[in-house]
Amino acid sequence: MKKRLSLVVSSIIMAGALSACSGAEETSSTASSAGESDFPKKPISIIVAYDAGGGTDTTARTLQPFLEEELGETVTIVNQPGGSGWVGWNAIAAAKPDGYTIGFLNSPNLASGLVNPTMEKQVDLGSFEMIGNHVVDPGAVAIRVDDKRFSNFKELVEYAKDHEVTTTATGVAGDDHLVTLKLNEALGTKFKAIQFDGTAKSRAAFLGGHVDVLVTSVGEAYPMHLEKQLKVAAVTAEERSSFLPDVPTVEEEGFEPVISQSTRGLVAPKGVDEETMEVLETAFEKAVTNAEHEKKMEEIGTQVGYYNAEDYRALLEQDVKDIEGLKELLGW
Amino acid sequence: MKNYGVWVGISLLLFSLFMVRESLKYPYYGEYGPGPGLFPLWLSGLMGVFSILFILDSLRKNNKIMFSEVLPKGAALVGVLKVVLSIFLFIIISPFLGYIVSSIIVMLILLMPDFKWKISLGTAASVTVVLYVVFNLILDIPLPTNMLGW
Amino acid sequence: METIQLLMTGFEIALSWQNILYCLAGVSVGMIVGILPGLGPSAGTALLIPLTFAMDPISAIIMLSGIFYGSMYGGTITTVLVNVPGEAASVVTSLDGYPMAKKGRAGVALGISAIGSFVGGVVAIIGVALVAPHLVKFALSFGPPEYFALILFGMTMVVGLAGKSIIRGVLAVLIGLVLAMFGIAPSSGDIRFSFGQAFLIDGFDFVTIAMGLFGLSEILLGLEQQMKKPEKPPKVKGLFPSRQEIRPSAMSIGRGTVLGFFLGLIPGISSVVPSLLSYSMEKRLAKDPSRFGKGAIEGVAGPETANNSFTGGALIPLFLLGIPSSATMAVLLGAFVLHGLQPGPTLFVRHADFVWAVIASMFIGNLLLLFMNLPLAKFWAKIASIPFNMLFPIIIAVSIVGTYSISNSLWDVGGLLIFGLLGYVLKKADIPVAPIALVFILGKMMEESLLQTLGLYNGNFMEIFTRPISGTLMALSVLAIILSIIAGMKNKKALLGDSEV
Repeated sequence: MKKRLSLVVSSIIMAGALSACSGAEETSSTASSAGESDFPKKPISIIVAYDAGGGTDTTARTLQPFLEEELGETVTIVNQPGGSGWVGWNAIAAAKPDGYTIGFLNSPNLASGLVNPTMEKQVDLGSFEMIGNHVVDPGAVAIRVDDKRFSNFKELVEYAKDHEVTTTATGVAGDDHLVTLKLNEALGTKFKAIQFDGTAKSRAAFLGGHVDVLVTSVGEAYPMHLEKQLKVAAVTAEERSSFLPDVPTVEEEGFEPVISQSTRGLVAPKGVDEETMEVLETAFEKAVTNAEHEKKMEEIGTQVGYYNAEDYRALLEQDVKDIEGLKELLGW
Repeated sequence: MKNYGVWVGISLLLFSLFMVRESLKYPYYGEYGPGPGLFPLWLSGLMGVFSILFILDSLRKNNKIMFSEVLPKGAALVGVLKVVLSIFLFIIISPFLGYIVSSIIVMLILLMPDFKWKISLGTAASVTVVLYVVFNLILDIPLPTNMLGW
Repeated sequence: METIQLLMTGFEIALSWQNILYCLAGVSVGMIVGILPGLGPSAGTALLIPLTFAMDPISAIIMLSGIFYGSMYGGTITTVLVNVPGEAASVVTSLDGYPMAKKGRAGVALGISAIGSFVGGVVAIIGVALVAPHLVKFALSFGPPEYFALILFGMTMVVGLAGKSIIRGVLAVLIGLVLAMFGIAPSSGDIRFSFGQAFLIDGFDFVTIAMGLFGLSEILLGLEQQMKKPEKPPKVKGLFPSRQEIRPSAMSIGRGTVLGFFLGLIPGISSVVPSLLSYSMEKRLAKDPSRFGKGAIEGVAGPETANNSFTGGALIPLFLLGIPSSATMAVLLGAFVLHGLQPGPTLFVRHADFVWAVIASMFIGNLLLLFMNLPLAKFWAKIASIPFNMLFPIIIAVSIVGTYSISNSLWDVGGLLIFGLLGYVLKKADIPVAPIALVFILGKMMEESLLQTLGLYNGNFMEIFTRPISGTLMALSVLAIILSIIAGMKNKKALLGDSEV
């Protein structure tokens, strides 16, 4: 009796497993034979590696409705903060590569983690399939409006060639720290970065006159520039920012170009099949370049910077290369 | 050895020695003075010193805390173990069974012996559902889910 | 008199039906957020930001700031009744609030903290309205050396607070400091003690530590006591202090208001510091400091007042400079920016109606909270009259989901378990756990500001002593250490006497 029962149970389990297998085969075969993917069939989760209410979360949630419109499916934002982003990024890389779990990467934070020798990393750039870049925030070098030693970028650089000038940074090999290092390397200045735990603290130290130069991003700096609390002397981008049309780039001031910016882009885990990636890439491009989306992003003070998958990968690879080149200055 | 204080001291000492060893992996001096290894090394070293002082202090007649005084016995021991194991169980089963089932199981383990099963189940289910609604549905926190999505 | 006129305009906006409703919703949610452990004001406020996307900016900020200061009130309730601080600033309240509840004076503890919070909150807002433009320069003069000296000063207070046995107190402080070393090292960026685990890269989360050390360990200890002799849940009787307590508590509230308000002006300070400083101030000013830790009413009134007037004072740097004084303020700042209101000196000019409406709404919100807390204290206290063996499974269920929500990860639930056991083991060995949690927060800030100072002044540590503000603070720290050693020597005899009884 008992034996027979167990036989029945195991055969049911077997049958279940078999049908599950064949079911899976069926869907995959229809997808490939149809030539056109029926992805997505269920809600898609986007992992954000930072807290709800943070910068990446805000821009992700701004994009969310536009992405939903393009994909015709629900898109949910899942915050997985912690580990300076690595908890979330690892989770993206480890997700099932079916395209239903994707997420945002933040660089150069990601790139600096990849180069940092004390980081026992589990992923690299090869762990991700790129979908495209969403946000670009160039670095901004700001001085105090009442500083008597220098009143523009040229004077600042000339002064910093002979004197030690302190700058702010909010994380080793973070976007703002890299601005300082890249300036020193390209222009021969003696800027010295002081690390702060967050922009709020670095701003206070700058405004209080404890640190000479505030290095931050355009998104952080432009409202204060407009209010004349500080003067953004230059931006470290290829061209001027639409938020700061009166501020020159480093190159425009007559120096070697110095490019340093933070970016946020959407990626999928490695191994998602091509058709699915195509659907995601197309939807992402349409959502990001939607005029209404661009307007919303401008309202929250963030610059949209669309890159396609290929360019986005090149950008991340360049970030890693840049930081590797600065290894010595970082003491790594 | 039946002196509880001494064993706590020894555990803290072992932890601090481990941390001293780990601290040595980081540079002692940085660019402008203390490096990333300096503070952890000194602090864990000091912690070791004070652990030893604590052990000596615990050996003194007036300060002796014996295992027999502090170790939970009988029902109390069962209660403590149940709390610890039920939280551990939650960590293990929630990725498979989902939040709602796991939370109800944890609460049932803790409630069952003291209350009738109807009251236990009612409390466990209602608290879990309220928490689920507040955290998952209202606050949008993705709680662990099972294959069926809850 | 322009101020009064502007404030009146603010009230006009804040008193619209819609905004009163948002304010009520905000403070009610805040109460609940404060009561639920693991979901502090920062997380609570941040998670509700998405709810306000569709709202107009003024209503959104009114509601979000309501959540924020409402949680300050709510955090007190669980601290007093079940010794589970719902938010970091309440940790200090647990030192005397919980002993008061154990003595059957939970009602008085809740009453005095509601009154103190109200007075602190309202006076601080009046202060904001009156002096906002005049105090900015002082706050900005705090650079890294001043931070270091201030934190060191706070740390000496923690050691002084640990009292009882100096060895055990210092050991607790060192445990807290070693725990603070986990995570990314300031200045060098080395990842310390992550052992290859991503969840350890940022070190331990404060909420996990606090919930484990204070919440779970207390449940474990409570289980044993209950097995030995059934403990009566604290009854909430009478909300007002006895006649001889009125004067000292009024004095504590007054001191807490002034202290909290001024600490609020210092950028980057955490909301724990005002409570902590107020507590040690009350302890040092008391005629009989030995009552502290055993249910002294001043130990509840002072810190509770200070942390609410702190949130008021903190509005000044937030409004004027866009500089948040605490993590929660930073979240609120994020909400401002989200709604297109970048705080700064011109905020008062360009968005005067907004600033004054928010200020006016805070008067209204504090009044609502006073009513919610005083007559309804008994309602909130009902949680504690549930039998313990019914209550603790509920607290554990809430703690699990609360710690989980910190970073949506089961690792934090594991942390809750580990720190709960740690607290349980240490408490049995008579090692105080409160300093561990307090020092954990201060330790990171101290290392950071020291390295900044050395970076700024080319490794010259003496800079800290020669600058006026930091020099004064360093002198005060030394004084505090000497005083606590003297006090420790005096206490030792008394303690030895006690243990022989």
